[in-house]
Amino acid sequence: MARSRALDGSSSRSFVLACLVLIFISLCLIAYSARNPEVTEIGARAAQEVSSPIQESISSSVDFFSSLMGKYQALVEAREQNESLKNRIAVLETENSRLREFEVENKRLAELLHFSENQKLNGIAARVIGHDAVNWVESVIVDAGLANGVKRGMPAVDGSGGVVGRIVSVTSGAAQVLLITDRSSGVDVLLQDSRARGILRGADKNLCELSFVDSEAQVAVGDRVITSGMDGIYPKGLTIGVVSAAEKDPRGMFQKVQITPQVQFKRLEEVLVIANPQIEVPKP
Amino acid sequence: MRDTFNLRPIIELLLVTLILQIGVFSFIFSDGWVPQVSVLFVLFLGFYQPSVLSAISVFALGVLVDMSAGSMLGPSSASLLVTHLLVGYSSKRLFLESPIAAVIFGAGCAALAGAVRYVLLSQFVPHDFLIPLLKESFTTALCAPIMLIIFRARLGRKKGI
Repeated sequence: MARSRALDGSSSRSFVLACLVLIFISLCLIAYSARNPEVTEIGARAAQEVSSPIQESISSSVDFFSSLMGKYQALVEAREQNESLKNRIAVLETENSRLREFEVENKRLAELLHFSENQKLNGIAARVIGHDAVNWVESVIVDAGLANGVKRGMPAVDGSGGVVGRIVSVTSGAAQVLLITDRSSGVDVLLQDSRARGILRGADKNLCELSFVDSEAQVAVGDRVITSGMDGIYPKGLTIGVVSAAEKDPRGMFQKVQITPQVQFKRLEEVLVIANPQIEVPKP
Repeated sequence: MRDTFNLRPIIELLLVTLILQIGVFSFIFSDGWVPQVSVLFVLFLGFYQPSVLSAISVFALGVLVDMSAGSMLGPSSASLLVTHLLVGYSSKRLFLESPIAAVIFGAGCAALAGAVRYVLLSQFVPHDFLIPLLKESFTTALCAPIMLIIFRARLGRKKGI
């Protein structure tokens, strides 16, 4: 175990004397440097010459690690900002999708309004809010009812003027529209070119068929089918669809004609209920 | 008793002390918290090898410390010499082996040297000294056990002990 080297008599006196002499010299140095400040400047410059390289190397090491930490922190902040921006993008995309939806809906409603004004129809715009709950009847529910002026029997069209169907039941705030593709539906129609008449009924797969078309009548695929106005329900001249197939029965009196409706019922979102069905719709 | 003062390692340790105090610790610590490694060196020298040459070494160390600080020459050498004298004179009654003893003596010597220095400097530039004294005594005491181990390792325990 280490022990101090004990001072013996003579060395102790030498040590104490040396310390006292040097303390005295130090006090003299204090007095001298107080009167001559340039001495301290020389000393400070000399000390700085020696210490500055050491301090520079320490400083550069500290700067290196500081910059590493700074870069790491910047990476962490960039990551957090990235997450925040991703969330913001998701919110903006949702909002953008909503706005585009409004734009498309606005366009459809504008078409409805345009059609109504052009044809001088007294129309009540309504939004499709549902379909027949039991799937036995081809119908849709709209959000306009007695309070809006809708009555039983009124016809309904879409924005392009295609016939949708007619009102079969109505409450104060909603109404049921029987589509022309339903088997119980019947519309008196004309072939626009040949003027042949028939009764349009619903068939399978969202198609319609024309009954009681004279076998002598000229029917071609692509012929346009319009309402005749004879049933007192639909105004004359509304577009039903086009002939997609025609088959003559050599032994029968009538032809079998298949019609593809103009209205795409699976994508129907708004309808125009016509409040004055007696008028005649001019030819397009 | 023969003087077995070994000059070369003393000079090496003196330079290391200066570099640590002026170059390293003054950069890392600030606002009065710099540990007084020079005081620990003086404590070690006064405890293990008090002699005329050790007193001269302490004087030189004090002057170098004053030069590096850019202040007037003399206060640090005077304060270190006073500390060295007291430690050297009472070394045979003290034990510096345990870390706790190193902490206590380190704090005490730092406080003594600091007080002497502040008393001398306050004759020319009055300033508050209690808080800075407490700060540097605290950090010096914390560094004392490690620094004394380094000093002991360098000087060895065979010569003159």
